[in-house]
Amino acid sequence: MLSHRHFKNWYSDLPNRPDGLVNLVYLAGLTFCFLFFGVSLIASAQTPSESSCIACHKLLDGELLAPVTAWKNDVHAHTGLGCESCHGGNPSPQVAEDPDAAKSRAAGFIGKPSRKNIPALCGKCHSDPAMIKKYNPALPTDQLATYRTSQHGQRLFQQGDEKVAVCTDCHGNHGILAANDSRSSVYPLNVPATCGRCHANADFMAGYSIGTDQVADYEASVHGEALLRKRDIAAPACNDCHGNHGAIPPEVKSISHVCGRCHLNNADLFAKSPHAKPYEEMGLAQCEACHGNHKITKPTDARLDPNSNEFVCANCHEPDSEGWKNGTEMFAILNEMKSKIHTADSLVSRAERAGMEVSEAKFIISAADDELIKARTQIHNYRADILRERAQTGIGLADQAVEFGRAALAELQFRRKGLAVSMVIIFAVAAALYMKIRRRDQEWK
Amino acid sequence: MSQEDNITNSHAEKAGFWRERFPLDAVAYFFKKKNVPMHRHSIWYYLGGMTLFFFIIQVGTGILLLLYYRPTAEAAFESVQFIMTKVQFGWLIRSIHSWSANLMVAAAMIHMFSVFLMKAYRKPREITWVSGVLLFFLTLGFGFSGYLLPWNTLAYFATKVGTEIVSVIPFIGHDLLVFLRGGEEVTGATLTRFFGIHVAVLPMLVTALLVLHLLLVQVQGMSVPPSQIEISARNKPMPFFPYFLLRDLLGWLVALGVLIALAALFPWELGEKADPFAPAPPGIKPEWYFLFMFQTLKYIPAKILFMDGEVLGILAFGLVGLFWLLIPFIDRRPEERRSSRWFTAFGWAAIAFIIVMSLIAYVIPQTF
Repeated sequence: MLSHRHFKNWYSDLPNRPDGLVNLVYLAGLTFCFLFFGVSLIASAQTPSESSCIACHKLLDGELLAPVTAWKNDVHAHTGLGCESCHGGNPSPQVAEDPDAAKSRAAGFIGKPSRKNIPALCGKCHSDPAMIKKYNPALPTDQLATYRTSQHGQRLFQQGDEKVAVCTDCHGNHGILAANDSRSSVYPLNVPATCGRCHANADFMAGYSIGTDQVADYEASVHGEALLRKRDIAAPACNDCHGNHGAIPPEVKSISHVCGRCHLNNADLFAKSPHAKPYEEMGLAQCEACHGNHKITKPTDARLDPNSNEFVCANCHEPDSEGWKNGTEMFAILNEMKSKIHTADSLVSRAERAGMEVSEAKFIISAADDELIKARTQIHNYRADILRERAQTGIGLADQAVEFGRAALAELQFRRKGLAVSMVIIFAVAAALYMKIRRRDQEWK
Repeated sequence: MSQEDNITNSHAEKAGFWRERFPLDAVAYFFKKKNVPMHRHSIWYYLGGMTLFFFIIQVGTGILLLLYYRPTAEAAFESVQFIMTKVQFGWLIRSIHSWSANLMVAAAMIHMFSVFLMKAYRKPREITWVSGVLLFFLTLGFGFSGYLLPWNTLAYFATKVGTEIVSVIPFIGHDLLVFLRGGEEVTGATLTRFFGIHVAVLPMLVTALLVLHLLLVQVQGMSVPPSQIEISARNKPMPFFPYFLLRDLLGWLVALGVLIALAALFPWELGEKADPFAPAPPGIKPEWYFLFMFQTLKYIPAKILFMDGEVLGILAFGLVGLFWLLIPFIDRRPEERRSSRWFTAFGWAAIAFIIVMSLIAYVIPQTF
């Protein structure tokens, strides 16, 4: 055992110790070496070795290597879970050289889970509130329950159809990302493509009684335009109408509720409209009857124009019937508003281009525009008399703006005339002054 | 006694009343004797009067605007909008005030450079020059402080940029910025401050200096450029009253016509109300008379030796301004009837510099 004396002797035997400073440097160097090796030893002792699964699979190729690569980004890996959490087995590094021990059935190894078992496997944790709240208290735990109510779930569990989507088809398997990660396959911008992988694939969907044009139609819709082109993630993707884990085609009665989640006023007006009951009795899909489903385009007033082939009232109402006339009257009211706003806008713009201060008139026009939007919403009540009453505010504002525009243009004319008169007076006085200067100049010279 | 005699007696009585209380005869004698030298450059003598004319217009229209203007961040924009839309001829008054301000700066600038090039600053007119240059600086101050008052977006951001410049002045820059803005940012406090400066401080200073300036001009008479002394001596001088005054009036009348036409055909825009939280809109630029300085500051490298380029630029402008103010005490050659070509060249170079830089600033889009 080394004693203080031994150390002193060893130290005193060091060659060529010229002075104290050099000794200090020797001591500092030695201390550094001890510290460096010590910290390295502790660090290496604490660094966890990779699991037996990863140690072995990383030496493999193709689809057996893929899980190792993808797992690095997986949201579950970041929470500290390992392969054994889903696949079972013994992940201990000590059995890395022994595949039989690592994949021991006694250790719960299940290998690749069957498609039918995947929902239950994921649900093992995701349906357990006590477990989930340890990782993400905000995450719901009803996915498996709602999945069972979905078309996918019903077909899987009741008919044994393993072609339907299970958890991994939408979320991925070894590289699962959080739904709010923009790279995730279930991030709003990516949802149409994710659903379209199956639903837009005619070969895959052969045998099912639904079309494969939903994604294409959606892309051409106002919603698709907003989500995919304008990248507005508030716009609805497939799951916002159909549900995600509980995905199911909306039924006739539920359509207005689905649309009404965003289009509150329209849904409310429709529910109180004379159309609500007959639609229900006839089994007509409320909003969808006029607007369509996946390919919802921007509605125009032409839908109420009896001379247009877009006239939607004609779908059910005979020409000159009460419903037909009601639609025609609503079209006339909207046209009156639009025409007055257009007149006001044109007058005020002319005045503005001529340099008049018209900010108040522009504000009124903007308020009239808002009223026009409200009137278009009011259409969903299908009552021309009520629309006429509600439209009065907008028509009044438009009239006010028209008056403002006319007054501004009249004022402009007044200013021009005033300018001309002033110029004539100034010119006359200047001319008289000039004559006087010339006369006085002759006297002076 | 005829009716005519009665009227003449009544005038004589009134004149007698004033003569007893005021040296009317001395004034009348002064005007009778006041002459304007006649030579090739006599036309430039009208510019001072023209500037004065625009100043009078500014005072008149400014007082009328004051009747409705409210100097707070909440109400300034709306009050100007009210003036322009609801007050009878309010639009005309505001438009004339804005146009006249610009024409006044232009007239003052031309007047100052013509005086410089005609060497009218030479002894004994040093104080006239100094008071004139100070009046010009105060006019720019009027422009800068008045620009913010409508509290619109362009004015707000231009003032923000303009006041930020003073912060680069060494040692006192930040304090000066806070003093100008009434805080760290351009706020309602800045508006109130600028209003006070615009309608009280600057008018007081300008009135005092203007009285001095005009008094000196009257006492010393018009200066004749050294190159025109012989020609002027040969020509018969023009009596100020009434010959020159009539010409002055004609010039003012033409200026009034131009001013009214500009105000009526191109009413001064109000723009959008200032929103301190909005990002600076594109196309912000200061008034045209500050543009050359902004453009110059852009071309100065960020670092010159160990000094900040912008600081150096501001200091340089400050030094040039001081040099300009003190020119009568630096350039003594004209008073000794000697040529001062270098100073003349400097004047022309300054004019060319201002024109070129301003044009560049108008052609190249501004990015502050």
